[in-house]
Amino acid sequence: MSEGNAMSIRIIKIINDIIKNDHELQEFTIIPTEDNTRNKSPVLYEEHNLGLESWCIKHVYEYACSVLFSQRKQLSRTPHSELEKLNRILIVAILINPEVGTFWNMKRELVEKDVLNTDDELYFSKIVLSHKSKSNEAFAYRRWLLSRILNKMAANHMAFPTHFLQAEFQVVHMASTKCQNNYHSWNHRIWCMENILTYNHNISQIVYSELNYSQEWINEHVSEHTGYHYRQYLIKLVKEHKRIVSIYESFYNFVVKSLLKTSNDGDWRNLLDYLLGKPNRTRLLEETCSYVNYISILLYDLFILIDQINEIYPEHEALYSHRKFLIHHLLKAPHDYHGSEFKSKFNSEILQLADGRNVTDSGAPDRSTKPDPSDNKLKMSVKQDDYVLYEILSTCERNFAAKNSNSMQLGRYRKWSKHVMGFE
Amino acid sequence: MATIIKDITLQENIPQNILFEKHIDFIKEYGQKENNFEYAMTDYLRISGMYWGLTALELMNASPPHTIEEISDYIKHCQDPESGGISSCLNHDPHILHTLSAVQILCMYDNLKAIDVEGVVKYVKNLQLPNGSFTGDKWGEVDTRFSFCAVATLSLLNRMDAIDVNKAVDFVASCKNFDGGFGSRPLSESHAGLIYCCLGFLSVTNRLDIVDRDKLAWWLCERQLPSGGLNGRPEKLPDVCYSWWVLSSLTILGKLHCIDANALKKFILACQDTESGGFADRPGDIPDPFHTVFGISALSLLGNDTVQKVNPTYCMPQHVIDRLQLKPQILDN
Repeated sequence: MSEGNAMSIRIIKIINDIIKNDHELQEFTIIPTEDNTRNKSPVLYEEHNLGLESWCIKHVYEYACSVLFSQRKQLSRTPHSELEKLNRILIVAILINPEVGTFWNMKRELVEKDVLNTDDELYFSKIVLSHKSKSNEAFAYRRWLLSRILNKMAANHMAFPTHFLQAEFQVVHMASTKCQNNYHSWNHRIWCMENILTYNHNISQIVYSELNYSQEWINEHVSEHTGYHYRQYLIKLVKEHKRIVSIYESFYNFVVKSLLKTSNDGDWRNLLDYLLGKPNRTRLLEETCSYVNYISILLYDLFILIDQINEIYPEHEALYSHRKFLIHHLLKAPHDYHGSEFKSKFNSEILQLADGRNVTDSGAPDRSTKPDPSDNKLKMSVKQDDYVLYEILSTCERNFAAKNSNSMQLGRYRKWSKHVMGFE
Repeated sequence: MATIIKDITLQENIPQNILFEKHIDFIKEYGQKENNFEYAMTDYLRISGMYWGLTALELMNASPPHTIEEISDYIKHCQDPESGGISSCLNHDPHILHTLSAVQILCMYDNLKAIDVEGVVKYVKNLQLPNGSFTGDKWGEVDTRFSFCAVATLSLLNRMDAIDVNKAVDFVASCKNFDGGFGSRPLSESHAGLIYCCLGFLSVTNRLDIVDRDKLAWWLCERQLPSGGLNGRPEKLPDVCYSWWVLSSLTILGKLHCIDANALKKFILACQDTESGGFADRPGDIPDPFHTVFGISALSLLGNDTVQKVNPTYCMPQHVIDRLQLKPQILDN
């Protein structure tokens, strides 16, 4: 055995022992070093943090690959005891290079053969994510593990314990924090909501606590569009999910007391009658509840959440994107509620006449503009003026524009509002 | 008021043209570093890497560093005889991403006979789920990228009959967002790379009718930053690969004229490494074949006639698509 292989085997053993014995590892990292100058073990382990000096990686990785790929095709015929050894090498190979799908697949096969258990694997993939927070391979592996657990529980008619969901959210939070705009981590959070939530009886409460979480997140990460997208997902979930049957008081009270300046008479259905007009047909109680929550949160975000952030951190495109979402869905809400079709009136002339400057640029000539004094009303098929909600939005947009008249983002936003939404 | 747009500032001495010789050397040398550790670390994307490099060379009218027989032989050995799928590298597991890359390379060299074509068709067919979506391999991860890979592969093989196209379209349609964009799965955030995959998918399947064309074009145009470069999502930095994904999407939608083409050209040319050759994600960063093929392809879409015409749906030379008599849907302005 070459000296390099002997060293690699030693390093693999040390790392495995640490992972096996410490169930609270916080982070794995590769520490850039020129060479083995200290003449000590390249594995560093302090206060639940594990480090590997980069000088040894080449040797360890090459050794790991030589063993793993020579075994790949025979995996199904390898005896159980050998498979455990193989996993020890897989652990280190994946820590060094988590993008290799084949390594993760080998782990999947070991899980299927009961060589590995799902708890240990969830823990291991969390360590990988502490190092490579954008690794979709690691998230995909977690989804695969979680699906196995979910299927087993469903087969035994067992409810999925909330702590699983909470643990998953912690991993997502770590990955989202370590890497901004982390598409994969936020996608994983949505996957968990969609797949795990269905097995949970506490849905109203979980969605409410996620709404609060997302608000905190957005306040601390004002420029991350992924965070806003997650909130948009939650808002739509509130509207669509039939099992959210309690009124989210904090949002509802804001609308009633602060925005409408009326007293809460206790019957929340009145809010919809007031904002959207009486429905043409009778709606189920839970559907009405969904709409009250939905519209309350949209208005809360428009008047409080993004307004406050914009005061402190102006000019954020992500914030304006969220504003677009809110305006779009608030304009659409009466149509959804009354069952009429909503079509934003896109003025496509502007796209046809584009002349080599970016059409969305507020400085680009707006050749489709024809001055028309009657044009400052919403150009939509249904008579919008009947809705109090429409008046509220019009006033809100006017005030917002006046307050931010020097904003560069506002110019682009207004162009969007005018041409894409037909709302000025 | 402070400007806080996340962008870069272009330097003064931007190359006026494509540095052909340097890029050709860069790509050819990239494939010769087989004993290098970095090379081993990127085994997991080898065949896609070959597709990027070889397509870049073809678009620059340069010959490949290996013979077509050598390239085909390597691909042949990456095909799994059992499933029919193709892996990134010898001994790795098959995956639809590399299956498409392999088919693209072999179509370019008109040498599909090197692999078991029926095996590939079977592989792709078996990855379709009842809801129409596609998994990347047998382990079940779903992504709109894989929907694109599936139909791009099968259309290149003239075997679209193998799958349920209507269901596949329904799935992609279910990934559409209010802003007109698409994400990797239903409910996922709009992302320019995935928008390209979905538009490419709809272009192949001739179903661009399901797109909110103007809304999406607007969103795509908003990706252009003051530097001229394009990003993939709001408040992200510009990156040459998005020059391809956004631009090919706008081309498919017939709305290429809605962005500032001159500013973008300048940005892409600035991403060339004037010393080592190759394109980087942004000026001054380390170049690689991935950004090189997308930089060159984007310049081709912008009408640069010193490179070959590229097809916006397949990211392959147009003459190959013409030879295969494929007519992916492209909307007129």
